[in-house]
Amino acid sequence: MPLSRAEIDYVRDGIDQNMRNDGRTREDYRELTLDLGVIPQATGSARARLGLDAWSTDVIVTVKADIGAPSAEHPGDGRLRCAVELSSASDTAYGGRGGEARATELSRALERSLLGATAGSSASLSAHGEGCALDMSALGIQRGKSCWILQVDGLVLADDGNVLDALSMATRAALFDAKIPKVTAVAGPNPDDPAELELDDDPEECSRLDVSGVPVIVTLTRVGKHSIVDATKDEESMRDPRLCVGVDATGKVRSVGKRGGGGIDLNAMCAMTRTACECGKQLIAALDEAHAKAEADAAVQAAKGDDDDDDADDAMAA
Amino acid sequence: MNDIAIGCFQRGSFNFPDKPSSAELVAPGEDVRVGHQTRGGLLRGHGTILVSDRFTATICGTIERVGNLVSVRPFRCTYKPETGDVVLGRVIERAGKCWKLDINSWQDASLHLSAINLPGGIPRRRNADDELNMRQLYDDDDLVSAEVQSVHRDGTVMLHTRGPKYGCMSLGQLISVVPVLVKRAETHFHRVCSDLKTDIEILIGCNGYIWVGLKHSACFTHDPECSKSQNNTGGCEREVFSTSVNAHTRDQVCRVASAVRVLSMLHLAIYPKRILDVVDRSNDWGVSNTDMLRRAFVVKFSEWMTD
Repeated sequence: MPLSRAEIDYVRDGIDQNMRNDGRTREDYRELTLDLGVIPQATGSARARLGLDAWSTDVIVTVKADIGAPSAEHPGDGRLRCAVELSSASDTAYGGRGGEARATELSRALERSLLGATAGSSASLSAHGEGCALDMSALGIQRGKSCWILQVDGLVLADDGNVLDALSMATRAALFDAKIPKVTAVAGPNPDDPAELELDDDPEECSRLDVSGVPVIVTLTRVGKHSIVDATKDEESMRDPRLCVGVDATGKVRSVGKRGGGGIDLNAMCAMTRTACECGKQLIAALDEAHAKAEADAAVQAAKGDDDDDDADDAMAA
Repeated sequence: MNDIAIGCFQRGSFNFPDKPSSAELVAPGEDVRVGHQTRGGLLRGHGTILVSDRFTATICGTIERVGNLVSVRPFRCTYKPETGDVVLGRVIERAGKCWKLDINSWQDASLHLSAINLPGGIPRRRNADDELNMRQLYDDDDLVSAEVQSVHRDGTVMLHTRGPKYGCMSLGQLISVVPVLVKRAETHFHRVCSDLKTDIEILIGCNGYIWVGLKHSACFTHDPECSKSQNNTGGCEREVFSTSVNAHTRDQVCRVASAVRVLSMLHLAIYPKRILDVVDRSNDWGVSNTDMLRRAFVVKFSEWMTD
């Protein structure tokens, strides 16, 4: 919903005074709620919510591991691709094909932050570049013949601003949550054919992905002389320039993208990137803490023999 | 499900103080029971259907009983306008002599040019010039407080903004909540002094739009005559429009707005006394403005409410 001129003035004035409409300062994230393993059928899944309102930004990301053929450039590696869907429940404008352009933009941004490069259309399986966040060689099964294909699917259930950050946080958590089954190749009857694969269904034998290099995206919105993190939908509706910075655990920049209207001054951009790095570092520390807690909770539940519900609900203030 | 949602559901009975004992949560498809009865001698109300001689809920909500009439009061529903309701609406477009306003309902409401007070407050016929200058009165996206003048049989809603209370909102913020949380009351305009210094105006619109801002913040924003016409009676008896708010005032506005948000998160009915309760608790517990919408405070407040 667009804001009136008077409201925009009030919001901007608040940002100038470092007191936003919901009481946050410019560098505050909303309360983040992270649930791991929300979709039991998926290899890994996570749900991230920003804020506690019923209409707060709410995304679910699942990781599905499939076996397929590796790309020609990286025969020994696995593959990964992202797809984001905007639920029409989050905004009536997303009904039908309404949200397609935005969904593509989001999935590209997500893919770029994970792979370091993106190839062509969102429909093609992306090749990973040199700045890949995951160790793709760990996803190879048989060189040139078979590998794991990770399909990262995001669903935006509610959009109250800052969807990309929420998606990247949920993606990181979902990748952490993913348990890749152990696969062993056994020789098939025909030496020319790919060997047959044996899937170990023992959950203890699953391998986990190393997410220490996976960045989170921190989006900063430039409003006047200041920049804010975690803009709400109202703050986003003012069409200010945004800078999406992928930051890793060490606080280093992995990717930078500019969105929204207008331009950003170079000095401002440096300052914004610096802020993003600090925020991203704190965010990842908080995420890692939540992962560890979820893991511990899951272990406790497994010990209790209560395997009906191994959802771990973690709340933390970022 | 997070603990807040659970907390809100457990206190389902608490949310509707009218029926403290009989209120019971039902989901669609569940039997609507009043005591041990499911049918005998009862009248079927909103939100229920008759399935194999039993009342079954069609919506999620609490059971409400007025005499023999049994109905389900929904947790969430679209706002249904009634004559006399004070609402906040956002101008979507101008169609001829009407503004179309989004009032969080099924249909957009219309505000006729003849249903407003012109700046200066002189009653006269609206001419073609007025029609051309409609943007100066209420522009697109402007937030307007208005009263429902009439609801036609086809559902069309007519608004009016005659009177000093109604007009364009400025210097404050809008919070949108579920309309069921707002009860129709004698007055929807409230002034609170959260710290004896700052006068804050809260407009609790029946449609679930709640405005928290500075007192007398309504104004014809784009009216150049606004400052001049202050002495006149009518829709423009407003202070001069200015954009800056000092930090202390903003802090107070923000606190009240956060209080409304907290109540909305907990699905508690919203009225001034309760808003002030939240503000007072946050002050007592030394919760900063930044932390009011954090889980810790919301949970602590919900525990305080249940005690």
